Amino acid sequence: MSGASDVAGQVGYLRALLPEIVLTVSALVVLLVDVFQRGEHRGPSGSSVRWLSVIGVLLAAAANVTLISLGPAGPDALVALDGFRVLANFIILGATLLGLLFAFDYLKREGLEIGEFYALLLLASVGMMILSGAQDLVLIFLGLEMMSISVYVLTAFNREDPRSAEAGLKYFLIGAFASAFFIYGVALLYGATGTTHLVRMASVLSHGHPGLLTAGGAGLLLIGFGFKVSAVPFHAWAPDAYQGAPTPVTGYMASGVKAAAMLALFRVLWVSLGSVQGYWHGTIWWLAVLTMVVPNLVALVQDDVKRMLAYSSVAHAGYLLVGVAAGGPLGRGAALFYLVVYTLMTVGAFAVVYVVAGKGDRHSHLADFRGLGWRRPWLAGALGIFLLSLAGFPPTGGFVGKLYLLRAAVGSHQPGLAVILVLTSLVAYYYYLRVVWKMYFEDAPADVPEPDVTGRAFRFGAVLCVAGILVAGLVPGPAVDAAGSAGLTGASAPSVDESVASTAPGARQDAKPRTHPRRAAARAQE
Amino acid sequence: MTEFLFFLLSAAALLSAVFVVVSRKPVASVMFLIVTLFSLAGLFVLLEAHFLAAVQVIVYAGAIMVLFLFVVMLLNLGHVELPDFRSAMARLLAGAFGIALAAFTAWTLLNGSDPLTAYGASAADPIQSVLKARGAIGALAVPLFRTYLVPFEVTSLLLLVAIIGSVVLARKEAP
Repeated sequence: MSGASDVAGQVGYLRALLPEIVLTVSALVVLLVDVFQRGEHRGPSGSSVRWLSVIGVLLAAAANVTLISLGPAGPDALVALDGFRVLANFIILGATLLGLLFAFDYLKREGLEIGEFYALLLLASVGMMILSGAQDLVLIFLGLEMMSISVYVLTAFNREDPRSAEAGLKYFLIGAFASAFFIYGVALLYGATGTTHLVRMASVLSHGHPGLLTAGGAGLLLIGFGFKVSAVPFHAWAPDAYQGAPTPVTGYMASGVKAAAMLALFRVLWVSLGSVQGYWHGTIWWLAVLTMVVPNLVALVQDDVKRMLAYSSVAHAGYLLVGVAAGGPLGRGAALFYLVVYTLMTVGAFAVVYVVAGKGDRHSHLADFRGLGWRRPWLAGALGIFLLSLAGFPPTGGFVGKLYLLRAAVGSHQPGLAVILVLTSLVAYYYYLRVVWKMYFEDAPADVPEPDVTGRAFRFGAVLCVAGILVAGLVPGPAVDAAGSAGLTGASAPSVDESVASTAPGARQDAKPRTHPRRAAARAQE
Repeated sequence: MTEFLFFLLSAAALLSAVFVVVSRKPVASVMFLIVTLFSLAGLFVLLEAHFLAAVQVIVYAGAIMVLFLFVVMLLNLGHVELPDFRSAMARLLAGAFGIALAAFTAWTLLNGSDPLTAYGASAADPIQSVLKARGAIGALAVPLFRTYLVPFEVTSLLLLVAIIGSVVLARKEAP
């Protein structure tokens, strides 16, 4: 590579990709240890595999901290070195850690304890980190595929269960279809600009006259991303895949996959296509509106809590798209902050559902939650907090996150989005609060099955989630600061000016001194 | 000589491609596809793209064809004569699209405009200059192992994930 940048050399990449490398190595170690421990007999994997994977995630997080001190990557580097990537990595690693913690009990209960599960989960996270941190469409595509293929397998991991196998096949077929759209869009954009590098593509597009090829490429790219983030009308696979997958995997899919794809979408749109906003901004606006309205209405009539949460997760993609449509530092910060909170609450909610559902994931119907508040107060309390946060009640993190998104929408002069966000959130109260009502105000008949006993890892993970949500709701300052100051290399400003945003009501945190992003990000993860 | 070879190879590629489609025995189709792929490799040699020609033979005529043959054998399709399952409507549409595409290509070429730049593609042709400077293999090797080294390595990880995934899904019994 010709540019005199700090990471563009081969050794530089070793430094700039340290978290990804650490996580990959730990995935390989997990595979090898598992093989040597189990040897010829096909029993369940030992507990060392679990702890090795948890340690791998923690080491990767530590490696991610070292990225903060690295300067911005050179203009030719294929990976970005900016606050956006560091925060995205923390969100993904957080989702992975929670996914692992919640998977332990589940895998033991369902007799699925084989080491490849952990290895695939870690490799999926490597793919996500590459996806959200890459600055080149080739690398973005490879990260996307690495993440997707691992998650297809994880979805179908419980082969004995026809629902899991069906969900895996559906997800795989639709995902392959989406990848084809994506790669065709990349090809057209390469044809239009002569480069796949996001920053260079931006400079080509800002000088020349973008033609039909650019529009077609951007459109196909949007369709590909639309499938991955499950935006309406590309969401049809999501409820089935989410419902059929093993429940901890569902939580991981709903948080990690969505976060990585959403952040990559943000980077691609605002870095490479920022100068041709006319081509895609209206589309993103409509995608956001549809994705907020449709799943929230459909979720009203779902009687299965797991499926209801699946629709709720699709609806949250709509809220996140508001942040993408807003763009700029405000939209960026709002999307990042919301993703932190969303990860905590959605992974936690799915985890509680699998405990209540019992062996084989059979009892996730609304009626199975009757009287849970009196039978299992701690479990019900945790689920209650997750649901209230998903609905957006104060003093939870979900409330602050929605406030931040509203501010971003208003700040970018798109009050329509803000109004729809508020209205759809009000509609969503019904189906979230219905579960809370069942838990506390209806008695459990004798035939309701008793929920599982929870293990240590589950309790630890649930406490982490609840604490994170409450901290994000009560003292959001540090996390909001970190998210708001996360830089994005080569980002272009929204075409509408943002001067209004800083004077808008609720802009309180702008006055505060910025805390160091590292500490705030670490706190946001806890 | 070059011109003669070009027409010979083109004719072989086109004819065998037609036979791939019209042949009713799957094995015969696969065999004709091998001829097509080899003729294309010859055409690549004429264009001085030697590396591409070698890859064409090794990957397509070698690995992928073996895969095709395996599928045909495993599904025991060797002696089956497949009935034509395409409807008249599908044939009509496919023919119309084919003719439209050919007409469109001919029109843009006859108009004298580069078909790509006419629709907003970048005008500079980066390939020719690189080919002159480094030759066909250098033009591939330098980007692959310098500029795109990271994607190259990530590809190996991607393949690893695919292998682990297929082993997990195809394992014999639940543990």
